[in-house]
Amino acid sequence: MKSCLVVDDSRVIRKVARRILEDMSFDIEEAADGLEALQACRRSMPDAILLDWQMPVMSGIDFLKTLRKESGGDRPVVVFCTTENDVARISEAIKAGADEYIMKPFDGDILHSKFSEAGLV
Amino acid sequence: MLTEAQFAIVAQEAKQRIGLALTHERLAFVDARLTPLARRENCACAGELISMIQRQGDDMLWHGVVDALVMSDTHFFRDRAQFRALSETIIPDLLRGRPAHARLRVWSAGCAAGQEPYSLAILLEEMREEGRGGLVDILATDISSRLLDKAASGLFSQFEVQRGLSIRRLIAHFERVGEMWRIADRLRAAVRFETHNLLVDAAQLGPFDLVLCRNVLSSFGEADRRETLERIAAAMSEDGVLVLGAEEDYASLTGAFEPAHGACVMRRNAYWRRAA
Repeated sequence: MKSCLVVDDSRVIRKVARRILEDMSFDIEEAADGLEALQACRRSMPDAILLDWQMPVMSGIDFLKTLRKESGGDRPVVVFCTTENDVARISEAIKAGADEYIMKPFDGDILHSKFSEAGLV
Repeated sequence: MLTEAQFAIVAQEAKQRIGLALTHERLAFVDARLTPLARRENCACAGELISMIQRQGDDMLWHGVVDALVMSDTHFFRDRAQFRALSETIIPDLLRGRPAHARLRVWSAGCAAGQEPYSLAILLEEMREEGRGGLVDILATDISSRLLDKAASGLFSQFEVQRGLSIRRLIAHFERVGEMWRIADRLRAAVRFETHNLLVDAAQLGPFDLVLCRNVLSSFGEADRRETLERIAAAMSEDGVLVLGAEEDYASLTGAFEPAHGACVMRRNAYWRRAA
């Protein structure tokens, strides 16, 4: 079973994402901000990370830049999932090492499509 | 709600006009699809709309009714394996069999809101960038003028562009326009859109080297399905390839095709001749 870390400061979004991803046979861990996510990755590197952008303490983009420099941090497939839908923001995310990008709002169909694009399904 | 008798009349019109086979369990679907049209025509419900059309014998309104029933749920690069096969074998094989200056003629039959022909245009552009493309013409047709207008606009919602498009393809081939995304002009220009009813002879549209008619014939009855396959064959070059939906297998219906890459991809039978 593949593991996915769901990083979002909204408990509701985490819950929705968890339900969809569990149906897709992912083992889910949650984090409420970038720093919690980094700590989770240092304990155990997940196969996939679903990542919000705007979060307190540490943002998604700062987390991603730090993660990619960590040992083994190049391994997780990172899918941004954010309300940011500017082309400049999307390009910034890809440059920082994101593999895929979801613009909120999303549904199960989009999550499935994007995880397929990223080679996770 | 539509009565049984009204549903039967709508089903008969849909079959006769566009080959759409509506079975009884589709009553609620038909009712839901016709309700917005009923409101626009100042009718309280779909049932009242049908009564009115029957009373007036209004052909334009029947056209609107049938148009509203055309399916439009689709993804970019729907059935990824098929697009992989198109890129890796089907299109290269077709190009190899032709002179370098010849244009490959492609028909997206039943293109709905345009996701299929635009996916093809993107794929062909990527193939050209890899130095393995050729000259290609894409004709995309649908029975629904409502869907063709949308397709030709090249505008898709944020939801639509996230179904089947990778983020790299999105930012390489689309630009954001307000809350919508528009496909690049060069790709929009690569596809010609035309209204066409698959129940009508298609020979004058062709000949095509490659036809995609995916998840269209599954909504037809068997006789319309066979006759449409033969009309498509008559509009194809002798070595042309037809791609059906990934779950469609109609090889046994007609001698016009033979299975090529699995059941859903068929090659035109070069010896087949259409019955006069």
